[in-house]
Formats: sequence, structure tokens, C-alpha cells
Amino acid sequence: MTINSPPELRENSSKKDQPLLIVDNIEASYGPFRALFGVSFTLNYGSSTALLGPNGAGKSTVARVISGLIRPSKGHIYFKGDEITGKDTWRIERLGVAHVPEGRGVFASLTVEENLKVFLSNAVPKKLIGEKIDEAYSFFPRLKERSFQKAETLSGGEQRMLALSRALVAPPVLLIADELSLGLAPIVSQEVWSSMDEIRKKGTSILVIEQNIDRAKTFADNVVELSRGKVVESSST
Amino acid sequence: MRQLPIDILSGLPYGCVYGLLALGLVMGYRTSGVLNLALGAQGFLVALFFNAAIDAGWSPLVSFVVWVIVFGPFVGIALDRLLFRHVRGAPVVVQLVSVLGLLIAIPSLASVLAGSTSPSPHALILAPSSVYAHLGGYAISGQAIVTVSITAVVLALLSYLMHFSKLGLYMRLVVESPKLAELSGIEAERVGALAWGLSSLLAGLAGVLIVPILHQVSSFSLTTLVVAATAAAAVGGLTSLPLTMTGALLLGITQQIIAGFAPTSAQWTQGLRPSLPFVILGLALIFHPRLTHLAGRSDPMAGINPPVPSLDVVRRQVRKGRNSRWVVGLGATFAIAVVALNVTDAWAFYLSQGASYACIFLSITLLNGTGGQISLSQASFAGIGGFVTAQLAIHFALPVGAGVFAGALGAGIAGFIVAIPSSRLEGLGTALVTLAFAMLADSLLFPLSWMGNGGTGVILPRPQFGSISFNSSRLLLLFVLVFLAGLSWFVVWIRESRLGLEALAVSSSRRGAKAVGLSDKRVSISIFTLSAAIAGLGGGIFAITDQSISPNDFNSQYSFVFLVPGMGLGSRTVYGALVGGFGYVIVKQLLSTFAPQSFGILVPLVVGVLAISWVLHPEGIIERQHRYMAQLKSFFPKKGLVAASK
Repeated sequence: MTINSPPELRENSSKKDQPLLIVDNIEASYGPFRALFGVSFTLNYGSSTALLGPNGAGKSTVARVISGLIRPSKGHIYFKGDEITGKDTWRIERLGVAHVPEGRGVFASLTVEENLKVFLSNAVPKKLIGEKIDEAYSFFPRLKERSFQKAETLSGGEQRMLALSRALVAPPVLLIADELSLGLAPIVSQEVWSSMDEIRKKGTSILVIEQNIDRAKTFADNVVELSRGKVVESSST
Repeated sequence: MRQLPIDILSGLPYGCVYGLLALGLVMGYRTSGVLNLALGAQGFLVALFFNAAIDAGWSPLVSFVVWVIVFGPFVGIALDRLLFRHVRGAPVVVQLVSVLGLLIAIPSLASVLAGSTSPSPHALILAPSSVYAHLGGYAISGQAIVTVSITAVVLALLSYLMHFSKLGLYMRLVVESPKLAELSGIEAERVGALAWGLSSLLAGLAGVLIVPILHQVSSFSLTTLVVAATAAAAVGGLTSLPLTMTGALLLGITQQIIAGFAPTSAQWTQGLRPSLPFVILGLALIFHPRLTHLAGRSDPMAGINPPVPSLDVVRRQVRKGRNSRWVVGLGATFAIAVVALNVTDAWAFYLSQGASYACIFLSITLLNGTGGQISLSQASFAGIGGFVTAQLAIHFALPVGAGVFAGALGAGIAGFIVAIPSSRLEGLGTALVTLAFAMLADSLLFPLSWMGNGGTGVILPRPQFGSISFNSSRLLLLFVLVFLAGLSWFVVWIRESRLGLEALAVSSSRRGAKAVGLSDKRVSISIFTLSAAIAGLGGGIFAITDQSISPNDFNSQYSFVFLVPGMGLGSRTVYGALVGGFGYVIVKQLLSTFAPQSFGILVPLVVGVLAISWVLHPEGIIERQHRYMAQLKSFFPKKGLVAASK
């Protein structure tokens, strides 16, 4: 048995034009420093949205608020129609939100294979884990070569591939990808974006955070532009 | 040689108890990154209730189930909820101060709950001294059988849990990055709570098993035992369970061999057996490759946590400039004169003692506030300063005033020796090296006849400058306060000097400092040495005020006690150090004078609460109050500013 698209999407194919995620008037701070000032936008089932903006605009903070890493001081977030504002991160993940954070999104002290086991342990039945790991290796053969290597010894591109492989073999309902191509060589970056296309084809909704405006606009259906913690423009590409 | 196999076998039960505690330490450290030095105190709490319940007529088995199996893990889970989960990923100094607060508060709390009478020691199953078998010439006692059997079962279960179970894998993830673990759908807080429950269960087991061996229920023995367990955990690099257990067994066995073979006549050989764990701890920290890089791997999600509040006090002082400093200096001098000339002799004595403690707190201000380093041996440096002052006055007739500076030099040299290995380490490694030194000072250095007079202490006269004798406590207070004012100025001067600036740079980022050509080792060693010398000055002033000094005045426990208010009040300010020093003796005297005797037991509890409050406000209580005042003032804008804005 293989899972080709998120179960949520297979059950709700009629929902395609309905909002999967509603971010409503969110405010958030890091200690005394306020980062978001009333951010609002929506993301529909099966669609992809790019969050754009310069450094310090609040893009990563929006991602962190959605996945529960930061509790907002004001506003609401709805996922699949239910409010998830302030819920624990692990609960939100189990609802089908996969957040690949900026930088190293893998466990450095674990091997490649152990990382994959961890990513898949809550996403697929136990008996399917071995099969899914093989599937991940078929997408990224380089990871197979390094399966017993600790993740901290992988290159930046390989670490991003490892983080994305989970979404490839057990597609989440919503994938939040934060600055995936940052600091990667163009050829590696191309490989990472190709895998994002694969994930989208499986029906996963994607919120992509990116500084490369052209690349993001090419990829996403909608664009939300942030500046100094506020939404300055929302448009379709 | 016939003795050797017997020593090896008799060392096994000790090694097993060290091992259980060490496994508990490793479990907690692997899951949260916190080295819980209060684990011995948790073990004491469980052992106290276990034995008290048997005294009250419970059967040992029922008492074991209730107190060890149920209450032990409950304590760990409760501490996780209240404290440990809040310090996961926090700077090492925050973690250490919080566990030291527990180390001080738990035995005090236990005494409040269980009463001051110590219960009789009881065994779990077999009669502890009855001999059940013979192996070679070694008579195998009931306690040895129980201890070794329980440890073997625990080790097997733990090895399975950590290496083959899902929970074991999750524990590894949570220590690396709890937030990343949560992003993978793992309930990090629950995993952490389970690990702390398990760790506390092991501490309770160790406590219950060691009591019949030591023949007493003592908090001091169990808290010292945890340092021995730390040595075993260090052998395992704070991660490997089998190596930790091997280290613990070797430690127990070697101690018994030393006890059997070393001559008992010499002072130093008597201290050799208890010192062994601390020597091993120091050597492991210096030579174990994993321990030299304890701060090496950081949480990739650490940037999400709110930043530590900024050093507003430092900035304010720079802004104030020279003129306001003169005003503050003159005001302080006037206040000193008024206080010194108007207090009673008894209070003059207490305040002089407070000034000596303030010197020790100033050493923490320099070391942590400027250098970003942490030391668990400041009391030992103070002790060295005090003993050198006293010994030079007694045996070489050196004037006591000059002896104080000689004492500071002695403490500075000791600090330099400790700083050399600790400068290779960071954070927790530095703290543990200084802990090992403090324990060595307790067991090996202070009992020496030329230092602590064989443990009985040294008596010395008050200083005399020409015809001026300081036998009057008020005159001595005046002298001590002026000296303290000078020392406070010196600490501020160092902070604003080139060395201070370099130290701030190194404490902010070692790599960054190296990149701009700074020698991080030179800076760390310089600050550590100066700080030890200042603590030595504090010890010298204590000795001349008290006219005596003994090892108990500055044992290793005092290093913990000093560190908690030192950090809790605000390690970054001279003001915090002064409030800490004087506050310590004033609160102590007020409680002993006006409160019932049983209230004295609350002092450690207050220290514990202070430590926990510091976790929430790492800028310190003094700085916190400054900020509250600033917020309050913002409600009443100055007229001039309002006019200007108009």
C-alpha cells in the first residue's frame, strides 16, 4: 500500500476552493520585540502561497505561529475549519501540518535513516516505515549512500532533501517550507524546488517562504508580501 | 595481595549506588541538557520518607512501593513541571543555579515535612549485616546482594529502553531540540517528564540502598555522593550508560582498594579516598574528548526563544559619566561613616561579616557579569585567602592587614591553576572543574595542618596599623567598608577597561572574539584569576572580623549558597553584590533574633525560591526592580520633555 496524496484531500476533493488555512489578524512578539502587526491571509486546499519580503519582515514568524512554535498575542488561526491558535506544536503536526524550518531542519545527532524513522513514525503505520524509507531513497539516491551517516555530516542541500523527503513519501495536508534554497548552490537549489513540485503534485497545500521573488512567483499560485510585520500586498500569480 | 579480591568485592555495592545515581544524572542530562546536581537531595527525600514510614510501623515492601516506586518518580515529574522544562535550552548558568537552588532547598523542605529527628536506617529485604554466603575470603552481606541485584536489573532495563525503544529515541531528540521534536509530532514535554520521573526513581533507589551501608539518613552524604556519581557520569561522557556504570563500579572498587592499602597515619592519605571521585571528575573533564566540547552542538531552533534581557545597568553607568560617579562616591562615603559610627558593636560585627561576603559576591560579579564564566569554588578561594591570612599572621608574624593581600595572592594562584584547565572548556565543563576543585579543597586541602590546622581551624588577632588597633568592631567596620568601596570601584574599573571589554566579547562569542584576534584563553584565565583573588580578599576580611577561620566557614556547600543569591540578585551589577553580601547576614541575624528557632530552617527554602525566580528573570531581582521603577516613571513624564515635545 502506498499513500499518494494526503488522506484529508482524498476525502475532501470537493473542498478544493475552500480555505484550508485562515490566518486572521495575527500579532506576535519575541520578548519585548514585536514582530507581527495584524497579519491576515488565507490558503486554499491544494494551492500554494508564497510569503515574500525582506529580512526581518516577519515571514518566518508567521510560519512559527501557524505551527505553534510561537503563541500569538492576538488573532486567530483556523486549519481545516478548526481553530488551532495556541495549540501545542505536536498536536498541530498530527493534524497534518509539516513545518520544515529555516536552516537545519533535521536531527544532527541521528543518522539519515533514524531521521526518516522519526519523521515517519507518526505519519504512517509502523509496518510501512521500511517501505517509505526506501521510497525516500528512490527520490534522493544520495541519502541512501549516506543512510548510516549522522545528519550533521551532510551538506546543506542534503539536509534540506532529508527534511523534505518526509513530505514526499507521506504527504502532509499543509507543508510550510521556510527558506529552502537559502545558501544552496543553483544546481542543488533546482533539485530542492523539483522535489517541491513533486510534493505539490501529490495534492499537498504549500506555504513557501522565500526571498527569491522570481523563483517563488513561478512556483506559487498566490503571493503575500510582508514588510515590517504587516501584509503590504496579496495577489494571485 | 590476599586483601585485593576482598577489596574489589566490597567496593561493588558502593559502585552500584554511585552507578544508580550516575545513570539518573545521565538520563536527565540526555533528555534536557540539565545536569541535575540536586539528584542526591531527591534521593535523600525518598530515603527519609522510606525509613520514617518503617519507623512508623509500615512494612518495608509497602514503604518501598509508596515512596520509591510512586513518590520518587512523582518528585521528578513535579520538578520537571515546575522547573526543568523551563530551563531546557537555557544558558548553563541558569540551569546550574536552578538545580543548586533545589540542592539547598530540598533537604530543608524535607526537614520541615518529616521533623528534625533523623529516622533509623532500614534495609529493604534482607538483613543488611547478615552474611548469606562467602566468596573467597569475602563475606557476602544481605545489603550487598540486594544492592548488586537491583542495580543489575535496572541497568538491563535501562539499556533496553534507551537503545531499542521508541521512547529512548524520542529522549535523544528532545535533548537535541525540543521544538524540532515537536515539529515531528513528538510530545516533548511528556517525554521530558517521563525521563525526569525515571531519573528520580533511580535517585530514590540509590538513596534507599546507601542508607544501610552508611548507617545513617544524611542529606550531606547523599548530596556529596552525587558529585561522585557525576565523576562516573563524566567517564561515560554524560551520554553512555554502559561506560557510566563501568566508571561507577571502578570508582567504588578503587576507593575500597585505597582504603585497604594506603597508610592511615598521614593526613593526606586519609583524604585520598574521599577525594578520588573529584580527581577522576577533573581528569575526565580535561581529557575526555566529548566533555571538552560540551557546548559544541546547539539547538537549531534556539533563536525562537525570547532573547535574554539586555544589560541596562551597564549602559546606564556608562551614560552617567564621571560627575555622577563622584556624587555617588561621596554619598556612599557619607553613608558608610554614618552607619559605621552609629551601629551597636554586635551589628558592626555582623555588617563587617556582610562586607566580607559582599567581596565574595563581587568576585561573582566580575567572573559572571563581565567574564560570562561560572564557578562553583568561590567559597574555596575565599577559604584559601582566609587561611593564608591567618597562617601568615600566626607563624610568620606578618601584619594581618598585609596578610589579607597575601591571602588574595594565594587565592589568585589557586584560581590561576584551576583556570588553566577550565579555560579549555565551556559552560558546564568549567562549572564541573571548579566543583571538583571545591570538593578537593574540602577533603584534601583544608584539613592539612599548614592550611586548616588539621580541620580544627586557625585563630588570629585583629589588624593593627601603627598605634591604631582595630579591636573595636565599629572601627573595623569603618575600615572594611572603605576597603569594600575601593574594591567595588576596582570591579567597575575592570569592567570598563580593555580587559573587561575583551571579556565581554569572549563571553558573547568565543569564535567571534578569536576571529578578531583576541586570545580567549588569556582573557578567561585573567578574569578567573582576578575573581579568585577578590574572593580570597573576602575570605581574609572574614577571618580578621571573626578572628578565626575553619574549613566549615567556607566548605563547598557555601559556593552553592553564594552563587544563588549572587546570580539571583543580579550578577552583572556591583549593587547586586553589595545587597547580596549585606542582605545575607542581615536576614540571617533578623531571623535568629526575632523569629522562632524553627524559622532558621526556612533560610535555605528562601534561597531555593530565589534560584527558581532567577530562572524567570535572569537579569536579576535588582535589575528587575530598576525596570519596574522605569516603567512607573514613564507614567509621569518630566515637564521639560513635555514642553520640548510641544
